[in-house]
Amino acid sequence: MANLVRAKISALGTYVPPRLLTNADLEKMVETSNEWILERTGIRQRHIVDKGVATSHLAVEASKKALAERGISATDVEAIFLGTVTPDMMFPATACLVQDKLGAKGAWGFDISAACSGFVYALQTGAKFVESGAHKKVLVIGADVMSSIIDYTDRATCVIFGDGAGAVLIEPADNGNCLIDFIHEVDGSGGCSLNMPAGGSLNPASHETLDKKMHYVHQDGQAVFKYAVRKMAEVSEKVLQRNGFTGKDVNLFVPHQANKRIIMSSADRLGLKEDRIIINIDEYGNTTAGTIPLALDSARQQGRLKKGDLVLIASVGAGFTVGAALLRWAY
Amino acid sequence: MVDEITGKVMHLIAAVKKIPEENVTTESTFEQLGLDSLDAINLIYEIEGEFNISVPDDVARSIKDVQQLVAVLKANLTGDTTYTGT
Repeated sequence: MANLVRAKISALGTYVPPRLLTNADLEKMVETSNEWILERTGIRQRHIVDKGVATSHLAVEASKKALAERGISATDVEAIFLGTVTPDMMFPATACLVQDKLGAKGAWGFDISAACSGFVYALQTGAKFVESGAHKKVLVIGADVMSSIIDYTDRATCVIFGDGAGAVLIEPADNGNCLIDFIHEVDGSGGCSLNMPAGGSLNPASHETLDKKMHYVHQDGQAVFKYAVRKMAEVSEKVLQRNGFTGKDVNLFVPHQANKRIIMSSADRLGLKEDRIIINIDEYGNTTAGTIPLALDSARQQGRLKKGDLVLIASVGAGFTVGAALLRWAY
Repeated sequence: MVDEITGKVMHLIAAVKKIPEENVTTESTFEQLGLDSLDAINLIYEIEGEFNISVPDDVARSIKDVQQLVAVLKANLTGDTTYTGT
């Protein structure tokens, strides 16, 4: 193992569409209130795309920023792994559309469907291709246009989600500031608790599926909440423990931004105070695969992410999918 | 005088909701304690861990006060799965 190559995040870019959907806007659309939304979710506003703007647009804008930060050209990118549940279309993969729009002529890639864990799963995929020596520059993207699959008459789900994207560049690391470890789990029995029932091979689009609103997000909120509260803490503790760390060693906890109360509950169990947690759900809502890179960017803008910091990432999403990543920030 | 199990439940409620233990009585409803449905999920998760039991989701959702919660817990501990909490 002496010659083991490690991987690092060498650049980060994010993008959210400019249009805002505030709690006040939602009060006019469904029976809800700013106070209820804030108390139950911690969300104040979300960014929503205009008609015709798709996931690939957001992913490309985020990727351009990451590449510009690193000072490299799109033609230097060797692979693109993109986490999303709202691809531009069923096929081709949004990664292919991004490859074209970005001008990453030499890159191959594919989409990863792991919902809110999509970015973390893509991150490990990218890391492994770098650690194996197969590639030296991999673009990992988390991007979703959740507004395209939200029923804006369903007050239980429409208050939660927003649109956004983030991209990181993965390159070989030359020291210990690298991606240290990952733990991922799936519990497929939770598939019925959070899904979009139609549009796939089980329920192809039809008048009936449209009438029954089967092309929207359906969620058993309490079942998801309970699973998330349990798993976010469990997987975080596990990845820390097996690398000889405890919650006290973590400089920054970057949880998937699904609900502020899930985040605080997980942080409590890890013994993490608020100054070690990044929370930006108030600004963006739940952007599904976009939340982790958006949270990293918020931390950076707040001066809370420095070279060498031990960063713990955790996510739970539809599937259920569970992900955790441990890394030392490299720049 | 409350029994040991009830005392532990009341302690956990205070800890989860971050309220003084003296505010929690055996007669308290979740509404009186300010526990909404998400707090209740958190609480039941804590109780499942503390007592090494599993409360089915539909039973958990029906619990609205301290007495119901203690009854569900005691039924679970004695293996009486017929208790639904309702």
